[in-house]
Amino acid sequence: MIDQEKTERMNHAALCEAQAVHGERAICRLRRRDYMTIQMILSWCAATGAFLCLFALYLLYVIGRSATDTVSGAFIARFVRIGIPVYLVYIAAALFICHALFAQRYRQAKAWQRRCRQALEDLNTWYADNSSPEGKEGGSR
Amino acid sequence: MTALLEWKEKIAAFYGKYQKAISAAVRFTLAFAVFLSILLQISTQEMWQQLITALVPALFCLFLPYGTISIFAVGEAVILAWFLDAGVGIAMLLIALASVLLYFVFRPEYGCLAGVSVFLCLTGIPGALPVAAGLLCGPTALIPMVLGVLYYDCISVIQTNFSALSSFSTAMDETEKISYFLERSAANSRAMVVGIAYAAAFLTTWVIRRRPFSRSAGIATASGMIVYILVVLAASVFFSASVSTAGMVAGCSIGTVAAVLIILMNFTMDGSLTETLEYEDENYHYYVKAVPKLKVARKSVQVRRFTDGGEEPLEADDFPDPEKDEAAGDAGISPAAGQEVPVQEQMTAGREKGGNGGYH
Repeated sequence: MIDQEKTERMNHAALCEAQAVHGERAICRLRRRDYMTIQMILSWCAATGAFLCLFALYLLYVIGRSATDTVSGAFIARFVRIGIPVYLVYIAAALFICHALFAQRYRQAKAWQRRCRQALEDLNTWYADNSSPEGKEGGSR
Repeated sequence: MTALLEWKEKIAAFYGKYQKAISAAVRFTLAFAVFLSILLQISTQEMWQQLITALVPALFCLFLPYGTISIFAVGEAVILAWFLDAGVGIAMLLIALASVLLYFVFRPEYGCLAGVSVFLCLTGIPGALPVAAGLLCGPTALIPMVLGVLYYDCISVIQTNFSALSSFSTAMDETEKISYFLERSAANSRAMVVGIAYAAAFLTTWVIRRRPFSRSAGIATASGMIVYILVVLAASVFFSASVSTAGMVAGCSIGTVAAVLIILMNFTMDGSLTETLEYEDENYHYYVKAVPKLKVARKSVQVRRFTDGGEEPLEADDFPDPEKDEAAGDAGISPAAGQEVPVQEQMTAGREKGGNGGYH
């Protein structure tokens, strides 16, 4: 005979675990500081790469418009004057958004972990209460 | 409503039974549609060749996650641009690299939305996506959607300037073609209108959907659609872009149908949303907030027994259940010999503090 209460508790635990959507299990293995550091370094690399690609596009555009094959010294000076501040503002904005985003993901992962642990603890307690003196689990009554 | 809920249960049961097959079929269909729509715009192949070219990567997508559809679509667009002209191919490659890296900065879920966005824009019904996505996804889903509009921008520029950008054209050299391509892409007002409307409609839908009032999903759908139409009309006047009225109406209609289906399948009696309710009787006005148990850690009840030997804290489930006790009393069960009988019990209730590690 199927035990209704046991089924409900097991379903609850499985539902909690199934709510993981983007790698909560892997996130929970790390401390917050470690997780945030890794994510910020990866984001910085990706954001800088994207900026370099866009800069290369701009370079090709300028070369095409000026109809020359070389980049003049005036262009390099202008890039240093304008491009570097633009890059700094861009990278600061990107990292700020990333920090908020990944902090929220870490919080969500931890909340998911707490819910899962609570459900498993409930199940464990229920098993302990309903097990027979010989140690067999009380699956059905 | 009851019939609809019955249908929902039937569909959910059917999906649960054939989940893998249905998911693979949807992936294949979506991938094939996306690849074919790109090929139809900028490929010079025969029709049967285009079908085969779209079919092969779509078959690969059968076994890969949804996000790979967007990556294959971008790769396809870059290769086609490369065959058209090496300079345009380089520009497309740089745009693709920049967008993939930007995507990786934030790592949003639902990467396939870029491919879906390209497909809907190329078929002329972009309005079908933002409201449905706003109901289903988080705010970071806006990134792949906007990147999809960017690819649409590039593909439509290649399509409209095919002869000028082709490698057979000698009017411009390679670098001039790149400049021309980039200038045209930046000045493509239709893509700009779609991008702005996507952002406005998506954010409106997402913000309203998260509000804790009744029928928030339905109100979010209506608001998102209205915002989309208004922004498209306003932006098309501002940027002097021509917008197809038939396409907008068709897109909004499909989007509304999709949103209604999503509300029915995801937001009706799913037990995962916080619900609010108001009603009153003769004496009181009641504000009820129903929070799903899945979202709240269960309150632990700690029982302390004071015996002759001192205090002994017990777990929550050790607290006697009146129903069980009654049943035990009826069955004539009494405490076993040697079992400790509590002298005094004190119950304290409080929220359990969550730990950090432990569960793996």
